[in-house]
Amino acid sequence: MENENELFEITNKNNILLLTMNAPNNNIMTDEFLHSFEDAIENIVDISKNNDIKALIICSGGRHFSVGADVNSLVSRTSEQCFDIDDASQLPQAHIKQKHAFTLLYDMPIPVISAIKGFCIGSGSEIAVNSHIRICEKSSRIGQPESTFGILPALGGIARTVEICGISTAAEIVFTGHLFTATEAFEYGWADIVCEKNQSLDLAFKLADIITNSEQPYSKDNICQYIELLRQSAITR
Amino acid sequence: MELLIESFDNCLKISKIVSFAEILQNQEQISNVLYDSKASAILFYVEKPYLLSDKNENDDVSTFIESLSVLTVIATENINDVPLKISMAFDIRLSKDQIMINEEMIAFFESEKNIKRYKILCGRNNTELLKRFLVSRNHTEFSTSLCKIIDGQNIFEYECNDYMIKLFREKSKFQSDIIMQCIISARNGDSRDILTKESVGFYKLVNAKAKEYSYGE
Repeated sequence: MENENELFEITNKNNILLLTMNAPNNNIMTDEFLHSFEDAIENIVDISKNNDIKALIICSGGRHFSVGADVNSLVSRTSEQCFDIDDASQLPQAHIKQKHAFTLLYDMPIPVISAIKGFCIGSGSEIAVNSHIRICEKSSRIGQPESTFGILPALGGIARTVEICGISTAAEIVFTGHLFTATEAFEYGWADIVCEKNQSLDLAFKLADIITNSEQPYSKDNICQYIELLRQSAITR
Repeated sequence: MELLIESFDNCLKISKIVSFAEILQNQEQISNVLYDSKASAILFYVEKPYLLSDKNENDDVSTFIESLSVLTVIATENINDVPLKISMAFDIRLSKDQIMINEEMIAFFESEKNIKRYKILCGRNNTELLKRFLVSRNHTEFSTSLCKIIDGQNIFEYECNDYMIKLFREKSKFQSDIIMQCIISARNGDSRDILTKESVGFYKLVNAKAKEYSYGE
């Protein structure tokens, strides 16, 4: 085991790092969760520098990937420290640091795969959408309901959803905040693979193996090809 | 018959459109009304589009639509009556049918610029499927993802109105505008813009909510 804090566990299996989220209440994103997540990502970066790490897989140790933040307490906490912001230069450092932990997933030079089951909502879905690849179990329910609370996804949720689903679908997902199924996620382009219950982690490891054994260096541009190789070798959707 | 311009729920709707040339002829009026309404989206409901005879007019219509600083939506029962150049200028396409695969479509996507635009509209995975289709020409395994299919029980025009109402339901103009600005900044293909706008927009909205709570006390 590479590292363990109370809420996150990092294990190394043949140079594939597994980040398991083990926070109470279905990985609800409290302040403690988010600070621990930032620490976990920092640890992962350190581990990756000193070892020949080939991939990162993110999953939940419980029934749900994450139910996201407690929005009302988030708004209440944020507004206590709030002041009028006109541009990015006035953004609080705490937010910049928090956002960096999420968007760093996207910028990693190794494949980052989210293995998703149950609810994957709000900032929980922002972990997934900042990942390079999303494998969803059929029972998953995904959504970005922030707009229904009067706010919006601010941790890469809009930027990444536009990138993977396109403007048309992203507009609907973000504006309506509706929950969608794994099948709908696949049609939207949000999910790369849909699988049966309890298969997502196994498939994530298989996909990581395919990618790391590829002759060419890893590139996000080749993700569809890697997935095609996995489809040819595994039973998926 | 003149264009009909209506406003509802953060959306400006242009209908009674006889031809796309009419949009060009009225672009100044449309822009002015849009500005005054402060709408977050503009819906062009096109009942019976007529093909423009001149490629340059297609280009001019597209240029005008792409210049609008709000979410742009075209709604028409048969999207295949609309030149692809024009339909892809909009952020969202609402139709009863998907855009057909034909020689015009294939020729259209020989251009890298148009594939890039497709990626902005439809996302990464759908673009990879398009690229594979352009190589394989296997019609059975591919359909375009450009349109949101509207096939409810109600009259098509009303279904489209409902779609727009659903987008902006229970949202203030302020919130709708902030989210809209994030989404349409994707048109230039640079995610860094959106990442910044998300964060700034979030704090503006939280600030607005905090003021709302304090006024309510």
